[in-house]
Amino acid sequence: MNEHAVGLDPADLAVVWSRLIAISDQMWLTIRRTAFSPIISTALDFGCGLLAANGGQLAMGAVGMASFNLALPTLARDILRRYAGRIHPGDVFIGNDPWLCIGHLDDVAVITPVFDGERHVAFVATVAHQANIGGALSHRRVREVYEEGVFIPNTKLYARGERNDTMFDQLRANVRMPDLVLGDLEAMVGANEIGAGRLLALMREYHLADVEALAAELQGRSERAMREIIRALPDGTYRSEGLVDGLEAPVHIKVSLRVAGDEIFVDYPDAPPEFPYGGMNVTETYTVVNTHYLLECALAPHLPHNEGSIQPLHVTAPEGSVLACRFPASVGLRHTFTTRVSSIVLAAIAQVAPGRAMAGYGTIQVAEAFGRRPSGAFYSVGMIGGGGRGGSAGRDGIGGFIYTSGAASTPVEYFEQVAPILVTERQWQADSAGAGEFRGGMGQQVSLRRLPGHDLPVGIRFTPSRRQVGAPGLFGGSPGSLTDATWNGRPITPDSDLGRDGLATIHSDDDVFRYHVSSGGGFGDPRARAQDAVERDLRLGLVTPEGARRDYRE
Amino acid sequence: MFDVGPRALSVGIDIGGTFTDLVLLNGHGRMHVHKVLTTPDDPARGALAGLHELLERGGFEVRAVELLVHSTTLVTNSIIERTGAPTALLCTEGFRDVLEMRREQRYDLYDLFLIWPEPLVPRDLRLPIAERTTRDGTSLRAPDEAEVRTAVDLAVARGARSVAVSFLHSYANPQHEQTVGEIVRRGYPTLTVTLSSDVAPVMGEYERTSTTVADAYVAPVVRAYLARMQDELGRTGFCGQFFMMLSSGGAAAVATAIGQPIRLVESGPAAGAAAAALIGTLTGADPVLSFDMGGTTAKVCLIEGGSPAVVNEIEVARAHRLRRGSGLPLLVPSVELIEIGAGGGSIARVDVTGILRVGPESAGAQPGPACYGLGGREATVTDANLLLGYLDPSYFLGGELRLDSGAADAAIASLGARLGLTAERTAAAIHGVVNETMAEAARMHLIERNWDPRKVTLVAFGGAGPAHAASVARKLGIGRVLFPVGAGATSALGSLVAPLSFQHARSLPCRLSDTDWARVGDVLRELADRGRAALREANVSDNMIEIVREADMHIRGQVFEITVAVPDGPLGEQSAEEVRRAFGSIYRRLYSRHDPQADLEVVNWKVTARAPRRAVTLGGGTRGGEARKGERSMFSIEAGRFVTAAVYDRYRLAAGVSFGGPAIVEEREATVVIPSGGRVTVDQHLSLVLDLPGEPR
Repeated sequence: MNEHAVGLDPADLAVVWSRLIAISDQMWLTIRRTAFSPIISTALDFGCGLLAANGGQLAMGAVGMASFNLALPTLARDILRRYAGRIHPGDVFIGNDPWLCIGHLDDVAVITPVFDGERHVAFVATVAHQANIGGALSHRRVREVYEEGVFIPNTKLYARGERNDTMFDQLRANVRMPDLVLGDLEAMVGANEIGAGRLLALMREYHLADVEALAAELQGRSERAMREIIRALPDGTYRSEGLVDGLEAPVHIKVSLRVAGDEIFVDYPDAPPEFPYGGMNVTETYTVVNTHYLLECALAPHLPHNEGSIQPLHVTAPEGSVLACRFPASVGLRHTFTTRVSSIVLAAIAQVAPGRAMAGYGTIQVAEAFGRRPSGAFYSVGMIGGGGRGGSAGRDGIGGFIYTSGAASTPVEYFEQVAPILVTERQWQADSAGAGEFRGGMGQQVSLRRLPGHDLPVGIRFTPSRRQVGAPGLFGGSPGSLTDATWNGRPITPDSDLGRDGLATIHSDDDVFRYHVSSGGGFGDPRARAQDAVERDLRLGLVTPEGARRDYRE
Repeated sequence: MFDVGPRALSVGIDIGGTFTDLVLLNGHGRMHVHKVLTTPDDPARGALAGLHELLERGGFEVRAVELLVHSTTLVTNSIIERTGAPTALLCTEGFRDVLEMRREQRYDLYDLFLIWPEPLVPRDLRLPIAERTTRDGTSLRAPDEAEVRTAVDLAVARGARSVAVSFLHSYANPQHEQTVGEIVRRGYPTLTVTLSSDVAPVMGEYERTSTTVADAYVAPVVRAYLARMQDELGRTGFCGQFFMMLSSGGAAAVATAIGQPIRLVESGPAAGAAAAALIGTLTGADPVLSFDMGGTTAKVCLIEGGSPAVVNEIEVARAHRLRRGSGLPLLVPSVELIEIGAGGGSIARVDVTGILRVGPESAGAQPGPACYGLGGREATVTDANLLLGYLDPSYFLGGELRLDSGAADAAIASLGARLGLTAERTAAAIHGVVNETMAEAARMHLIERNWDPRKVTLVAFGGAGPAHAASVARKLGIGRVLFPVGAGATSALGSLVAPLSFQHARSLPCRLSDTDWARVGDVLRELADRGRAALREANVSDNMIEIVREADMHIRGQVFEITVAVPDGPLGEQSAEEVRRAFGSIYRRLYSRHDPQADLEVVNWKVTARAPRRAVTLGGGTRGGEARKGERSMFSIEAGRFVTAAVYDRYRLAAGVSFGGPAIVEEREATVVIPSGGRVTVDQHLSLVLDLPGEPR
């Protein structure tokens, strides 16, 4: 029975592995139940995991945000380096270094070393998007990370069980809505405590003195499975490139994906230099975890993911480029950029694994309404909506697809409860989908007015994504529609408030702010689309007769 | 509600996907169980034939049946199999795609190709009406009769037989929907109409609309079915009361059920939980975790204070059976059941990482586990249980199905070879892994209600539950397990003890500090009147009706709602403090902390009208004779090897008998495994009470 390095046979390993994932999920559930901010409880923008004492990943939750989990080992190793010989029972670490963590200050990690008596045996860790981290109100104009909020290098939040009041006071003084933020941090600390207790109980039950060998065993198994998947792919270098929205104009992104034996090398050659402002720069850590996530989605969605499964994946981008920016570049909106870049990566993957090919997708779009009630109280609420998924072999895209974020959309009735707004339309826009043999998912159309009888101004914050370049089509499919907006029927110009700062104000009940959220790209030649599929879309009003003539008949 | 006299009979009928279970109970608590195959083409036929057989076998007269309670999968199946009526949706102009947009949340983070179920109403039957109500119920634009008629004409021309109406903010003011409902009822008497403000007047347009169309979709089918059941029963001479089991765990008159057929959606599983609640109450155990493990899934449900946890929303027709968020949401008060992909038919396999996995794929009944000998080749949980000695090959389903031990051994040995394990170790591992899955899911459920598993009593039933319960309990640190009699027909029994009750809810979102109590009072009165009306349809007199008022609340910013009691009597400013205190005490219990200054919001107001629970006893004698019928070798998880276990005949275990493990107790539909160190006592209701030793983990 003890022929395996850890002293556990495959039968025990099955139970132990599933328990480790369950412990991570229990931590996740604990945070979800006890956190205060909607970005955690509703948008689910957080993740949890377990690590060995050397920082090696033991397990990540089945439910948490994948990119968060993938970044945890980097953070744990930084703690080991920085605090060598100074890690004690009762310590809890906090950190949000975007170059170590996951790319912007908003994502804060709380990491608790686990002790069996005086012996450091593991880490339990959580990362969560905070309700606020301070800094400028609009990310659009910031030049450096200094303007984006509080930067926390890995620091002790608790030392030997003693609360670091200075840290808490600093945070309280520097973030908006400090009660939410501090409450959520406490929820994370509490979840770690639960995870640590259960991990120790598991170690006792299976007589494990440490979990390094176990981590190596589990990682080894995921790694071997991943290598097997890659080995089945044809060797070669696969390239894709295209324009994606930049600051004022689109930028060119190239992806080179090389399959060599059982390894994959992804590079972003000639990636454009850092943006001088606007928060769309991406740290190398985040480029790497985001690329890992895309590869796992496309090639191995059902593999147990951990640090092992990413060993055969090597991701690089030129230092100083927008995809491997240097300190102190602004990084607050890094996800809006990677979301668009991801379509180019998927297009490269499509060549390696045509069965998993999908045209580009429209992106998540938020329109925020804010202002003051007659009582003077401040309100703010985001109308979240997804773009269309791209078409794929044998299947049209679906509309309202939020990717790579795991967020949910906002119900109109909820939005209107919070903001004095009348949403007069939210539905698919006919003819918006990228045409193809299998068309993209529909783009949605949203119109906002002020609620009659509410005489105060209402602010709108809107930064369009995919306004310059639509989701790419694939194999002859057309690109998806552009995200776009009009104010009282007129397009938004670059020199208007909305065009420049992403801010506007509704002053009159006659003002109408109308926007479109980008659709998915088409897959395959539109002329090859089945006649009955075109007729069905006509019958359902998803394409108009003119649209059908234009897109589907020569 | 009335109690059935000693000579009077009550009958529970549960129509499931494969079997129809029937339970007959006399006033002394003597239970007769019958099981027949479901007749999917006409479920009433099988049920009525089964009823006839059950009565005949016991020598009973149909006239002596004073109460018949029925649960059925008809509603769920109609939605899953898309056999409901073609339905049109009249919606607010500008919001035609609410059903397709859903909440846009992906239910699988890695699956790029995930799919959603098709909406029940296709886009060409989703017809916009120019109308608008605002968040506070103000009408900005009333619907125009001519436009409504044009839309309905179009719907009829496109084949619609049922019409759903769901307008924005109709929970705040139902006027526009009622106007349209009147126009349709008056002008199109053959159409069925469902208004969202009737079926689910709560905030959130997607979930409310989804519920409304589902109700409209199943209404014609359910009405036809229940009319036929009533006719046929009347023809046999049945003259008792006929009630339907609801998803909420309560029962209602057929007339009430017909008014909102979507409430029947999860009636079978709700009845199972009601039975577990009864067993817990009879034994004095609280809280109780109901553990129902069948062929493809296991279901767990927490029961506190004798009542199963009820949630406001459930999901049906999932694109991925076990993925929350992949189905159609229904705002139907429902017993909160956690479904786990673990059952007797769950298939064991080696995954890509070389690790043993069990489920969620199931061999089902066809081809079934390898040991059924029906062509199944893959090793399943049942095969493992057979090899481990938990099942007797010659006494499965009372001997009706002879199990093929050779086939089970072969399937497990071949799986073991790939893992480098012996067949015996592999079988033990399959048993262990499936128990781990169930224990962790149960743990999550308990955590959500903030219960320490060690304080909970497990009630185990279903075909496979009793063989796994002790091991699951051990993993959770649960010290006591109850095994009720008739494990195979528990849902049918549960429907007999479900109280008559009906809940109505309505959204009236407001901050607690800013509540218009006069308006709340009006709403609560209206909801209570509707509840009383429903109970009157079941012949409950007004003085027997209990009214329970509640509010779904949360701290501003948090999404998890807590249901809090609203005080009886007139409401006013002072009520806010009472409600705040009630919220605080529940919040503290659930989350172990609370800020008394927290900014509280009420989302929904709810009123349940209910009749007193029926008093039921179980027991009433056993077959005489020696209960111990032999012994056999069974694998002991504690010892890690095979040990000799005594085998008992469940039907000969009289109240007061006590024995220790390792032991096996056999009944027709299930086998109870008692581990080494466990101690069993048979209580007066003939439940086996198992106490597990040792320090709980």
